[in-house]
Amino acid sequence: MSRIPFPPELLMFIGIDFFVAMSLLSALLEKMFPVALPYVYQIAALAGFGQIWVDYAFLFPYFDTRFWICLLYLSAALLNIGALNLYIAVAKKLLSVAGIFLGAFAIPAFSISLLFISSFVNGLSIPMPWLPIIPIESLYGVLFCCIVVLSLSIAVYIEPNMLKRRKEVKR
Amino acid sequence: MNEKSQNKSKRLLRIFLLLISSVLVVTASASVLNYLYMQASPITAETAKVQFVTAEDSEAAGANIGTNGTYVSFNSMAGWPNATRVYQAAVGIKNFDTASRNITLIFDSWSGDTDQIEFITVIVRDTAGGTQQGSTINVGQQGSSTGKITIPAGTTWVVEWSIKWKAGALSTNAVSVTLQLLVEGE
Repeated sequence: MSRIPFPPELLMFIGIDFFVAMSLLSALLEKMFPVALPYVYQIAALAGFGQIWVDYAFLFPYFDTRFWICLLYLSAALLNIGALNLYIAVAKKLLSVAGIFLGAFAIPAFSISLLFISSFVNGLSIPMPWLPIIPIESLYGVLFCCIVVLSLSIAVYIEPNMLKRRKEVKR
Repeated sequence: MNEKSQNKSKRLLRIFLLLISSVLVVTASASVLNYLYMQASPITAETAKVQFVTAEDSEAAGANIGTNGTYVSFNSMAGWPNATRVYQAAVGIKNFDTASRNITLIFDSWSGDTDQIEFITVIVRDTAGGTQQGSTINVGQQGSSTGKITIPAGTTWVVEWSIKWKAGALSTNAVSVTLQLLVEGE
C-alpha cells in the first residue's frame, strides 16, 4: 500500500452522518414518512459506530476488510438517500419537495462520497473496478447544479401553478 | 393543556431525544476515528545508538549494564562521612552512530537517608579526569542536568560520581538515586 490519505473508517463516519441527517429529517417531516423511520436510521447510525469500534479493536491489521466494510456501509447510506428521494417523488407525488431534497441533500451527499472514495482508492492497491480521479474543482459544478435544482424546486413548491401559467401566457 | 399542544410537546420531545442521540453517536464515532488516526503500526524495536558501556571504575562501582546497553545500575557504590569519594569513570556513554548525537543526563529522583548526604554530584567528562562536558548534576536538586551536550560519532565519554556523606552518617545509612539519559533523534 503506497499511500493512505485517511483511514477507511472516515467513509463509514460519512455514512453515519448521512444516516443521522436522514433520521432527523424524517423526524422533522414526520407526516411524509413512516413513524418508525427516524428510529431505524438512528439504529443504523449506532450500528456504524459499533462497526468503527470493532474495526479499531479487532480488525486493525486487516486493512482490506476494513475498507470493504466501510464502503458497504457508505453505499447503504447512499442507497437509502436515493430511496428516500424516490419515495418522496413517486410514492408521495411531491415532486417539488423531492427536488429540494435532491438539490440540498442527495446530490451533495453522492458527490462528496464519490470524491472521498475516489481519493482513497486511487493510488492504493485495493482491487476495485476502475474509478476516475475526481478533481476537487468538480465540486463547483456540483454546487452550481444543486443551487439550480434547489431554486427551481423552491419556486415550484411556493407557486405550484407557476409553470402552468407560463405555458398559458405563451399560448 | 389541550390535545393539540400535547401532541406538539411530544413531537418536540421526540425530536430533541433524536437530536441528543445523534450528537452522541456522531461524537463517539468521531472520537474512535481519532484513535484510528493516532494508532501507529507497526512499531519495531531497534538497537539503541547511544549505549552505556563499561569504564575504568565500573567494576569498583559494581556497574551492571543491562542487555542492549540501555540501562545501568551500580550495586557497590559507597561514600565516606566528611570526605569526598570519587568514581572518576563509573560508567561510559558511547555513541555507536555514524553521526553526532545530543544527549542530556538529568537527575530524576532519590530516596533513603537523603538528610545525611552532604552532596552527590555527577559529571560527564570526555575521559577519566578529563574535560567536563556540560554542567554538573547536583543530586537532589530537581531539574539538575548536564544540559544538552553533543557526543561525536563513535566517541565514548565517562560519567564521574562524587559522593560525600555528612560527618554523623552511619554505615547503615543508604540512598538510592535515579538519573535519566535523554538521547535526541533516536
